[in-house]
Amino acid sequence: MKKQRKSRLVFTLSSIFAFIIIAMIALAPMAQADNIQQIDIYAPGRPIPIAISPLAGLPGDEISSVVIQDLDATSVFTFLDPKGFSESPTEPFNQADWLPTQVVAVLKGTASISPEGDISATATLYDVQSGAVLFSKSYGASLGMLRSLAHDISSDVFKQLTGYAGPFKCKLSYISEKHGRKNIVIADWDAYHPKTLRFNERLLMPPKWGRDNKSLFYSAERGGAWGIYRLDIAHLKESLVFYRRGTSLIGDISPSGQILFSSSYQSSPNIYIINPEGNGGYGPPLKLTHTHGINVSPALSPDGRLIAYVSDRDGSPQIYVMNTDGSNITRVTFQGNYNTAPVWSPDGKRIAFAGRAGGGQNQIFTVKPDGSDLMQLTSYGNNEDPCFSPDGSMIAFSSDRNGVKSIYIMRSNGEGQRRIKTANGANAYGPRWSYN
Amino acid sequence: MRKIAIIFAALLITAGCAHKQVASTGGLANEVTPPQKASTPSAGTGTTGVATSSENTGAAGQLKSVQAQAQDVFFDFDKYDLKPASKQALKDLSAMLLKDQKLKVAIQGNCDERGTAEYNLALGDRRASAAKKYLEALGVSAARISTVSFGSEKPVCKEKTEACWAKNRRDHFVLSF
Repeated sequence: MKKQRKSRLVFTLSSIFAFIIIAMIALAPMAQADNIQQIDIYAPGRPIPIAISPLAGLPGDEISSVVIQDLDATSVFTFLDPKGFSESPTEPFNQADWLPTQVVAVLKGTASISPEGDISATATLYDVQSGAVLFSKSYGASLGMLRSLAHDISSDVFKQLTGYAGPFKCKLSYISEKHGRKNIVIADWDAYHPKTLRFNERLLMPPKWGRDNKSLFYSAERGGAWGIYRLDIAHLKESLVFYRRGTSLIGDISPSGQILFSSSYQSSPNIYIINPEGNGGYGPPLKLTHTHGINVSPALSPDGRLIAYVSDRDGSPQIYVMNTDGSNITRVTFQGNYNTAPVWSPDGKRIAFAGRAGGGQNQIFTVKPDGSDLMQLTSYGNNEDPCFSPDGSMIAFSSDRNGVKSIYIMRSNGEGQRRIKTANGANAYGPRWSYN
Repeated sequence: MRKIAIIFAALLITAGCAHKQVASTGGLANEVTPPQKASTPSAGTGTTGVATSSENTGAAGQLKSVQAQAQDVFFDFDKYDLKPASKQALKDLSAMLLKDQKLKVAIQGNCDERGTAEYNLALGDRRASAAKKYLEALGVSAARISTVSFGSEKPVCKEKTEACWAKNRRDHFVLSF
């Protein structure tokens, strides 16, 4: 019995070893691909033509269609119609077949399902101009995780061609609302595979991800006050983070688990921070703002040194930035009289927010933290709740531009705005992508 | 007083902490039952002092009568200062509260949908708080007044018109014994 287990272990180790060797072989051609120019996804211009050949083998068509769906959602690419392929999926890549098609890159590969239902795939991305292999990798997933495997391939293709990892491996959380009843939904990055957590509450705010992606933090009104709660996603178990009288709203969660929030429990809504203690509880709140008006929606900068937040200290809601100890308050927004909901780009170079623009509707803007270089990214309908993908390439937001409040995505320069599919007949808003 | 507040908060926290029973329905949907509904008063009142059925019908009738007299007060867009008409309505309300010391009031602050949700909750908080402070200034004990913000989450009017938005920018008062 013991011996058997040992031999299985040896077998496992040897397969890992074999995998490493395969991976090393696969990685080898990448070195020569380094001088291939990456696409600047923020440069204006036409989408880049590429070809995604169906992976040869049974689940290949399905995997390729998810890869196309993923990459298409970024609006960075156009895809060559398979009718224009002069090379079958099973034939090896031949540069001469693709040069006349104008495509920049071609993805080819194989896919199979084992009798146990495990999916394996290989994918190789070719640069058409040079004929070079840009990357070649093996993938594996258990039955039912086909989309997840495809998202891995999409991520590798996007990273290779743009330098960004893309949002494909993230989860998306949002609120789904029907007849005033709100539930939290967790789905794949593109709203596929939605899993509804049935809160069925009227007074529930969109959740924010803990940095480990294992928990969601949200605010809900229960028992006469707004409190902050944490949901352990794996066990669907809720615990209380902060509950006092008044209105307490989660703002952000730091990498070390500190909670940034606003609360009116002492007087008017101000920004506070609480530190986690070993027992799952939190230490006493430390007050960071001290005005008699409104201070709300704190967001921690990626380097952990600054907090962006909303304050009406100058008479109307505007975005401000301060140090994490509450010092050195500087105003970021000056245009318009209603700027709220700040979030930082993952590189810390920009803040996205919802601002009231002409026509009295909210639009998504980005601005540098010093207040310069303001850019308006949306212009139709009400657009709110901006959120960056963890690689910074994209922004998700809510919009009512088509009548129903729905979730949209766009590149972080505002190009390629499109709706992603959520349940019919329900409002969907407050999107947040998980961390990578 | 402070002790009472702490005990009260502790009770609420205990109630809120009760770990949730989670039932998985399988497939894509997972059921999460929020913390004990017992800690949440009947929907929409936002107060812990709702009149119970043990009250006699006389009290219920009296409550109905004072509730009918408690007028909503309204605010300008993105404002939380009380207008003259609002102050008059609050004076009338304070008279009722001072006349019957058993009466309590829960103030619900609301906003129109044009702002953003999180800021609106803070704004609704300020609107409720403005009325509470005014009632206190008129001599009503703070212990008899609770506040809650509904932000723009519970509009009474759902059209996208100024007339409708104006109706939603309000404090609503729920009276109880």
